[in-house]
Amino acid sequence: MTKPHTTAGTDFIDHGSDTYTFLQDPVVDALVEVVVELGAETWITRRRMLVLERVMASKGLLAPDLIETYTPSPEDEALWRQERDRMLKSVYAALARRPVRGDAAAERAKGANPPKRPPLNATDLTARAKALGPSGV
Amino acid sequence: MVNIDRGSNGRTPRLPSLDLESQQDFVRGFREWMVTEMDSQIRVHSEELAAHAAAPTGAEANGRVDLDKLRAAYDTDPLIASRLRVWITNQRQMWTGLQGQFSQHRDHYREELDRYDELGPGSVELDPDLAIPDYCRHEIHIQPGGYVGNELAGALYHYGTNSFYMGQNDSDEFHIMLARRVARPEDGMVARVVDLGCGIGQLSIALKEQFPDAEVTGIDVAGPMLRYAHKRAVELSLDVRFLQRLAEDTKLETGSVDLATAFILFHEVPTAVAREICAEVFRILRPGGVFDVTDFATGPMRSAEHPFATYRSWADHQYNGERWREEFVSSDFLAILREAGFVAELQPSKMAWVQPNYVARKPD
Ligand SMILES: C[S@@+](CC[C@H](N)C(=O)[O-])C[C@H]1O[C@@H](n2cnc3c(N)ncnc32)[C@H](O)[C@@H]1O
Repeated sequence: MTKPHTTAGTDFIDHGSDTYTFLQDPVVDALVEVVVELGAETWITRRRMLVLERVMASKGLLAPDLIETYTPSPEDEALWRQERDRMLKSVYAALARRPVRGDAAAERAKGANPPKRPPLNATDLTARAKALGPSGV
Repeated sequence: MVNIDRGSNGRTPRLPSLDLESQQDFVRGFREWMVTEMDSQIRVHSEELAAHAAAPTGAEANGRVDLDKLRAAYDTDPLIASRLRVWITNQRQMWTGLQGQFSQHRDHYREELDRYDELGPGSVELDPDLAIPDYCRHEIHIQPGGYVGNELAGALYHYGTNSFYMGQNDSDEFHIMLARRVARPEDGMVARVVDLGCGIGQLSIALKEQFPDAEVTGIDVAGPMLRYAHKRAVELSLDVRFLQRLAEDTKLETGSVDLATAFILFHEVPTAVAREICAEVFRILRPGGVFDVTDFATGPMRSAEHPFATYRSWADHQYNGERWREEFVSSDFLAILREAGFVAELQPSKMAWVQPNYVARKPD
């Protein structure tokens, strides 16, 4: 693992956009997020299928039967489970967050002592989510 | 390790995976849908709401639209609230996708940047001891870590803004056009060019292509942005010098610069700093030198603005981490330039989709 560069990773001031609520009920906000995420997942899949079909057809490999009758190996199953879980996490993330009213969150980020978060470079989004703690503050 | 070299679109390497490319393609498509389909409804709807509000909205005596009245009419409207919701969702989706994938390949990008730091032509001079002011540390447009707090900020900014340019800037087309049409000193002498708030150096690079014999310097507060800028310049074999410094304290010699530029820098700094930057540019320019600024419309220019545009500008400030935008657009930037000593005027925008062009000349 290489080291982060010294000129990056200075503290930054977190904007907390994951806590906004615009609609009557935070759950509705979460649902909209879910729906948009699903849209992305659907398009990602469709676009890959389009590529796949093009590539297979160009190699003379695409017979519909091959796809319909394919039996996954245990390795396939394990990999696909991982893929499925990644998708679930991404689509339903919004439902698992505790909301703060958009105004309050945005005002808080501007205050005299805005919340500061640790540098992102040493972590990934999962670690960041953990650092946020259950209240999102 | 998966192969993350997937060729390039114009000057921009393709994203490191098909899925990420498709996700960003969705983000871009969604954005286009939002600003066309959704906004065509909202335009009409928001005019009606404004007209029905207790006190009519629109240009006030001082040339500024009363935001409180607009907010009273818009904040709780279901269509407008949904527009804010999906816009922030779209924005977050874009950054989450990019940050997720780029951080998976962190070591690869780190090694690449480390390697390019040492290569030429051109150079990048980083200053690990630079005291980064608080106002530069916000997550502007909710970019994860902002410009200074994420070592992959350069790549993130590049691919994130490509979504704003709707795929039409893959080869820096906008920046090249800006450089071609940039204001010049009346005597035509352009030997030293400085691009302030240069970010990933797209304009600096285009200026070097436009003025191949000039010494071109890009200045930015953010190390990660500059490193990425330098890498791109090296790849294009362009000799540009990138310096990690503050635009308000460039440490360049007095009277040494012929042409200075700032593209979409000023709406991201507080007004007090904007004044300092203008004073600094006035200092480093030679008599007859020019400062070419492209940024949002400010002060009196906004009186003709559509009420939803005014509201959206505020929402960008309020929800999209554009911490200083509202302050900037409420100022009178032309007056600020003049106070610094410039002879300043507005030119028609060089770009279809943004903002006027402020051209400021240092008197002989
Ligand atoms: C919106 S970006 C514009 C970048 C670039 N001009 C472009 O065409 O994309 C604003 C840049 O200004 C930089 N910046 C903000 N405040 C600054 C300051 N006081 N001095 C130098 N750079 C600054 C940020 O780090 C960021 O890279």
